[in-house]
Amino acid sequence: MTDEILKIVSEYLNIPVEELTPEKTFDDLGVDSLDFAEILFEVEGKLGIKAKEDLLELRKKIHCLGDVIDMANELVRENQAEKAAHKA
Amino acid sequence: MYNGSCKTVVVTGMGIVSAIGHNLAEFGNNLFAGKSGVESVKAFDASRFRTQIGAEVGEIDFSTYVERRQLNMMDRLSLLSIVAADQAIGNASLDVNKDIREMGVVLGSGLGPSSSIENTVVQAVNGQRLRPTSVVKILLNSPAATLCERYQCRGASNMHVTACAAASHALAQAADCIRHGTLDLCLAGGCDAFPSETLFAAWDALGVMSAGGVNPAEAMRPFSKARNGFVIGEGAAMLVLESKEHALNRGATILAEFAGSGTSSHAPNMTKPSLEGMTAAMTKAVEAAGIRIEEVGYINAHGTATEINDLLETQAIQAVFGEHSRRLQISSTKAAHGHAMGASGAMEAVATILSINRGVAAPTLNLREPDPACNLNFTPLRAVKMDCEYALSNSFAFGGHYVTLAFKRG
Repeated sequence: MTDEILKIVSEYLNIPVEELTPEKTFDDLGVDSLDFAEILFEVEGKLGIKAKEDLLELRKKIHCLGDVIDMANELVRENQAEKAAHKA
Repeated sequence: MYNGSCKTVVVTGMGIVSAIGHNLAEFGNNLFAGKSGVESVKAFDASRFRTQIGAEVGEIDFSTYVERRQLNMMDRLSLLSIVAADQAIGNASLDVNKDIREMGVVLGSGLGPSSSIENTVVQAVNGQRLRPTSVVKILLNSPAATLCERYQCRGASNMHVTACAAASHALAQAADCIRHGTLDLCLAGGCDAFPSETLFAAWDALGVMSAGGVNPAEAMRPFSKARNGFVIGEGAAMLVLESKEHALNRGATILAEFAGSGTSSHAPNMTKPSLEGMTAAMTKAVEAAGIRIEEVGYINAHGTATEINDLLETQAIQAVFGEHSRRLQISSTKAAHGHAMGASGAMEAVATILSINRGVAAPTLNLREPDPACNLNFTPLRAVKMDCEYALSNSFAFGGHYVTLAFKRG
């Protein structure tokens, strides 16, 4: 998951993936609110997940790439649990 | 007529992306060689329409112009504008880090970002989530804003939306700003991407586009007996305008003088052109240039190959120029690059300047059998040598907008 998200951000911002770590903040990367929204949109689209809160709320909570990775992991886990429950 | 205190406006750079060339050299070579950019529509499946042909620019790798993050925010319209604007600024030898801080940007577009608007509507109707950047992409002023952001220029910027006269209105306004000292330097022109499928369907329903035939390149036949409408196109063309003083101070090469412009409005109804509107625009342009009608040697006609436009434009030229109309070299270059809607005025301004500077009138393609009612010298089929100092370029639009630009050889 970490590699996947760093690759999405790397491609979007045109920054070599080696320069990205979970600790990098959006401020470090010069990401404005529009880029922030687009990056989340890309992550959601490519991973088939959807954030539960709206953008303004997410902006208050998500400050670094690690926050995006944690959110994505949580949403993927919930998706899998939902699918398992549905099968059962 | 402008008084003596006004500044002389010159053209110092040109850039163009069109169906007959992705840069100025290609456009010029293909224009004078009589090459057509009309083919079957590639942007979407047009098989259900009466008209299935268009003059598209073709593929361009826009990622060589903008970053991936910017691609999401730009309609093809803005991307085409960037291609033409970068060329124009390079052609004018402007230093983007020094010369263009106070540059203005004035553009025209007839259709706006129609494909992006259509995609957004379809996604919304289907309950799909919209990209956060959707608004930025579908703003009607996005091309001008995109260029202002790209070059970080801070002069006046705006967009004209007067359909097929949009770019000519933009050029006229930019020149007026320079003439009256509001701006010293302005990037002006027009842009339109190929219409969205729905918009194309609407034009198809109106019945003003040529239905084509066996060979798409022979579909648009301005001023001919067999004319049956225009071929819709796309592209962008940009001109760098500046005061002569500003150009000379920085050692720029002057390509042409923007001698004047004439605009008029006459809308007997929304789609029918008027002799009065056309005549007024040409008359005002000649007056603004401060020249005698005999000094005009070439006209790049609006020439849409519709029954009524070509007939009335012929009559308007005769009304304005009288006996001299028989000595004019005239062409409609739309048969080659298509009718690029809001971009066409700027494309044809480029064609006009190339024509007077090379001393060659661009040909009107497919004019094999002239309409006896269109009995002027419309430069059929092949380019013709000429020697003229002043030329006009006509752009007329649905809604009763008429603009004529006047240029003096550089």
